Amino acid sequence: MSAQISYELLASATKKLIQGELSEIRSNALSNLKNSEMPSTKNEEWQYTDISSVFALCEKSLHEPENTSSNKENIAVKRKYSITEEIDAHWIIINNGAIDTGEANKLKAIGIDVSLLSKNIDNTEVIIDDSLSSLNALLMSDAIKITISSDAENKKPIGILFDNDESTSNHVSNYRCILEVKDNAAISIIHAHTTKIHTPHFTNSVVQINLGKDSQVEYLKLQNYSSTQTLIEKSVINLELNAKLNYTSVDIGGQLVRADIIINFNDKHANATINGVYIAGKNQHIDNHISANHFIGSTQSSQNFYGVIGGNGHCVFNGKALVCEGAIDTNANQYNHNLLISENAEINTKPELEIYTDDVKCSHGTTVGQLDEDALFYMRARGIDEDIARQLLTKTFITRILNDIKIPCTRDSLEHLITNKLRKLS
Amino acid sequence: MLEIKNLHAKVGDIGILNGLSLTVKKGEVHAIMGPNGSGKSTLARIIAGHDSYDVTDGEIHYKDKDLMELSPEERSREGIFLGFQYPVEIPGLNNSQFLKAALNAKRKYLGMDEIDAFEFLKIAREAIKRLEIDPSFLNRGVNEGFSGGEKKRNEILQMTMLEPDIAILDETDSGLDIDALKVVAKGVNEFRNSNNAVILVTHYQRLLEYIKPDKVHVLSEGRIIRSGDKSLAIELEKTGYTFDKDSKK
Repeated sequence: MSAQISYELLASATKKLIQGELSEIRSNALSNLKNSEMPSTKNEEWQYTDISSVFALCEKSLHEPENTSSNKENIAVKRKYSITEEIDAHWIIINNGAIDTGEANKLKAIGIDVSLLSKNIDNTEVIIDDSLSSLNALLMSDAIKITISSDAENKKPIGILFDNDESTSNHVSNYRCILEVKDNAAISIIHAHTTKIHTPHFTNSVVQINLGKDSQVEYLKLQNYSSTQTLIEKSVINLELNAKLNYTSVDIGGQLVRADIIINFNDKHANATINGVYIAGKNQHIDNHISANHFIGSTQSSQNFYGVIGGNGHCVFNGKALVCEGAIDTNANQYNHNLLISENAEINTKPELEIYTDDVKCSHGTTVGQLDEDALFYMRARGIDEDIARQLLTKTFITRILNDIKIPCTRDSLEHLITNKLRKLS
Repeated sequence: MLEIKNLHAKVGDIGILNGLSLTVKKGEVHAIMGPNGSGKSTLARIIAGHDSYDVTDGEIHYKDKDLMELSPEERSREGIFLGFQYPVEIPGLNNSQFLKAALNAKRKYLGMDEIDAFEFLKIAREAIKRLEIDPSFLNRGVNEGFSGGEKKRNEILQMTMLEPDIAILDETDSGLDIDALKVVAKGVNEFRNSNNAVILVTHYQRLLEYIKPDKVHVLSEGRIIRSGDKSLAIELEKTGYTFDKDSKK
């Protein structure tokens, strides 16, 4: 049997957690965990990404019950974060499962409601459809729920930042964010995974987003963790009639990163662009699994992921489109392009189509290559240092994705982060 | 300014240059002519520092420095400019960024401050106007989707802005219609002065009607077999390169 987290340990360590407002969710999660196994490289979907190291961290955390996040006083501690200072957004900071209520109240006035799931148990569906999302639901201190009303103001983006108090010796964090975008609403969201922890740490994150009819969401996920951090994030996004999503993931940090992005097209004329940039260097592993599920026709998905891999970095791209029976006039494409800038860099890439109907337009393609030596010589012949020429050429490779992010206030920060990252990459 | 002595170069086992010697002084314009495969472009690329050639013998001195000791970027900053026969397309990097990076690399080398954005735009716009280039040029990707003529004009624009001491223009005239050729020639004529030098690498005498060379050399099988003044180019136009075998005797 592959590496697992002991169920007995889970059950006993979380006895206290199975009380309180989230008791039903947690009990369901626990019974799911009894019957399911953690992913291992034996599963096709996880064959290139070995996450067994995080189970030991989970068990270590469970042995130190004072650190499992539930029974702490929920006090939001004001700390300084560079990202919130660099990017002008309405930042919602969740510190050890607590929200800064002052900031949240300000948002109410512009049509945005921020609350904790425990304070507002309604018929919200909390996704616990696999072992990792169940583990998340069992161990999360709470979930944050953000509701964007139809008339919400969209002048500034909403920033979401989960923080983990470094004074505790937590090895594991479980974040869950539920974003409800009402019909006709339009909003820009920045989800930042930028709080650095310099000891081995596993963040298990679940993001649920529902886009109502005629709603529009511009979404940026920015991940810049330290080299000791692991992030596994599952994002489940539902699109209703005419909903439009422009999603961009920017992964530049972390030691082990796995993102599952699942887009469900539940009604006609829903349209999603799922773009991504990943830059991996020494000892980094970044895996993006995207599923565009076209349950209904006349819907459109476009996946474009660009990767730069140096050192002994290893990345995985699996972009899938499922076109269900009767979903005619679906338009789906998946593209993945990779630049390998060192001998030991590695990419496993697979665009995938599963089509059960006729009359669809689907295309996919993938490339793996090195920097253009002719372009490099051309730049050097104009006096540009070889290192700088390499960085500029590498940056131009991913520029097209960055240019498609329609949240202008993030431009300088992204530019700065990426330039720094590329400088260190070789 | 530039002195090449007995240069031998190979690609793999094939000898391309077989004992080439050439001296270029300040204020001179040299034309190097010769049939396909005679080694003209190889010579241009070796001077610029391309590493796909194996220099097996001979030496190149530039401003009393051993050129072979310098990297391509150092050669550029020292004032050597190669106008590419096939300028490279770099989608995503705009001309303006590219020109500014090149200009600043040279300024830094010379101990000068980086050029400020305003001054850069001013000199870039002036140069663009003189070369009859569309102003949108600066915001387009480097050579991205450019026509042959636009690419060559871009080379001349870069030369004008970088103000090199010696410009080697590798078949800058190829693929140009007569109007574009005149613009390129005008750019070169405005550039040349008593302190710099130009080496024109070309197949045809046509370019030399617009840019008057001081010296014309004929290259064959990797070596200069004849040198003369501009009348040599006119003679070549009539006789072609067929005479070269005999003249070696």
